[in-house]
Formats: sequence, structure tokens, C-alpha cells
Amino acid sequence: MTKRHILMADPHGLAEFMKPALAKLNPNLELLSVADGARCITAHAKLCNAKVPPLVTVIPDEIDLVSGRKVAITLRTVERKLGVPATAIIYLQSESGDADESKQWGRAVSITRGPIDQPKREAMRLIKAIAKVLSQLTGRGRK
Amino acid sequence: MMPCTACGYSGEPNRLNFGQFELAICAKCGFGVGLAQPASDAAAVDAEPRIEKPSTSEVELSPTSAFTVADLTEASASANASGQAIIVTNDEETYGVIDAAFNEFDAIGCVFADKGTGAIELVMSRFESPDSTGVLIDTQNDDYSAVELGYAIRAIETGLGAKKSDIIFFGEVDSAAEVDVRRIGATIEIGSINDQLAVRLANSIAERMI
Repeated sequence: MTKRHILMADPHGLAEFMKPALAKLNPNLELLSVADGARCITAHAKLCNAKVPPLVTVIPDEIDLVSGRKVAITLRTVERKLGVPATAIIYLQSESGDADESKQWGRAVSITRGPIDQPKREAMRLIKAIAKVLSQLTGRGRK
Repeated sequence: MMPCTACGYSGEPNRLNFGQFELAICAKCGFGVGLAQPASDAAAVDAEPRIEKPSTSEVELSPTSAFTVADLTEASASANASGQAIIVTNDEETYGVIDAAFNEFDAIGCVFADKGTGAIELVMSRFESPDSTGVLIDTQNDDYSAVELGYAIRAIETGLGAKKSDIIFFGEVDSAAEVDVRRIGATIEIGSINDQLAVRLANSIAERMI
């Protein structure tokens, strides 16, 4: 079975804590982590070009080079232009962040970012969020 | 006569006579094969250089000394440049000034985007085109900051394996942004938009599109 991808802009190195849990959740899922907004756009474009857009993309609001909000609207532009299905976006917003704009992007949910000094806990919280989004994508989640 | 060191031709060379000297050039390839004082006194006192048409066995060349290097290379950028310039600005005055500056370049299309995502769509539309694409980004844009847009365009080009567009930022730029501009592989034209800056931008893009 073809592997599907969860793409994550991960400036704080949470991916290493998430990978084992994600493998348990679904062995056909692969977590791709990138360090900044520009690399997130590049990775997404590569996957879209290969006609396997990421199922879920996790984007924090504060990342280097291209901010989370700009990354989100850029991903939507690329998907529209290439004619591929939209990735589900999990937008990690700091408590002091701007108003939630994720509703405008479609197939997006915003959650408050947890403390970065507890990476394991934050990683598990993200796994739960990803699992919930995936269950909704497959129609098995609660409305 | 010594054979030509470039092509080995040993026939009679063509000669260009100047007042004080005579230049021998190979009749076959045009390579210089000798420089000498004219044999006759008449040539020595001839103040005006006499231009001879060097010839080869196949074609007759125009007199080489009739044109300077400057004559041959002076063709303006507008003569050969072709491609598409994408101008990213949401300032109406900037639209007008830049549009006027690009009117000189018949073969360069000029389109405007007032939003960063619009610019990205236009850039992506050009990926299949063999012509060059230039992106001029107004640093005063508030919709999608200029540097972020530059990074995003480069990221998409990399992701899709597309040819890199020429990016030029224009407007006021702080020194911190200059590092990003270099990383993006772009250039900056600093200053408030006016006719001169617009012409400079148009020429700058045209030079890259030759």
C-alpha cells in the first residue's frame, strides 16, 4: 500500500516523539518534518507534484522564513493551481496570536500551541489532533 | 610568409594599411599574422587609414575596422529581451509608473498582482513557458510581506523543479532584509517609486531576459 504523509513544520523537534506513536496509529503513515515555512512549502509542492498531497499538514503560526499564515494560504494556492485535493491543515496558534483565520482556508482547524518545554506532552497532544482529523477525513469521526 | 598560427593557411594574407603600420591578417580565418612598417614611403605619409575588405575563399567580410566593439555591442536591451514581468504591488501610483516604463519593451509582457497569492499563481502559470520570468516585488506590500513572498516563490520553484525566476525587490529595504534578499538570490532597487526607478527596474529586468 502506498504510504501517505503527514507534513509538519517542526521548529522545536517534536517529530522524534511523534513518529513511534504515529506508526502505532497507522503504519502506512509517514511523518515528514521540516524546519521552516519555506521548506514546508517545498515539501508540500513536491508531494502535490507527485500526486500524493499530504493528508494532514501541521503548521505553527510562528516559524522561520515564511510565517504559518502565509504558508497556509500558499499551500492552498499551489493545490488549486495543480488541481490536487486540499491537505487538512492543523494550525498551531499561540495564545497571544491573531484572530483565528483558519476557517477561511477550508479543511483547516486551529488549536492552541502548548508549552515547548514539555515536548513529549505536546507531541502526544498533536498525535491526538492528527488522529481526530484523520478520522473525520475517512468519515469515521464524530461530527 | 609564415603560415597562420591559428589555421595553418600559408597563402597571401590580407593587409590593413594604417598611417604608421600595416596589419597582416590571415585571408582564411582573419587571425592577425603580422604587424610591420609599410614598405613604401607613400603609405607612411598616408594619414588616413585605408580600409581594405578582407576576403576569404568563401565569403567576403565587411571591413573589420569599420566597426568598433562599441558599435557591435551597443544593441539596446529592448532589442533582444523577451519574457514576462510580474509586478507585485497594491499601490495604484506604482502601477501607473511601472506600466509606463515597460511600454518601451515590446517583447516583455507586464502583468500586475495586488496580492501575494495572485503573484504566486502568475509565477506558477509561467513554469511551462520557455521565456524568462521576472518578478518585481514592492517592499511596501502589506498583504504578503515581500521577503516572505520571495521565499515562497523560491520554495515552490524548488518543489516543482521549475526554472528560477528573476526576483527584484524595490522600495525601502531595511538592512536586516538584505540578508534574506541574498539568500533568496534576488536583487534590490532601493528608493521611493518614481519615473527613474521604474525605468531602472524595467531595464534591469530586460537585461536579465536577453
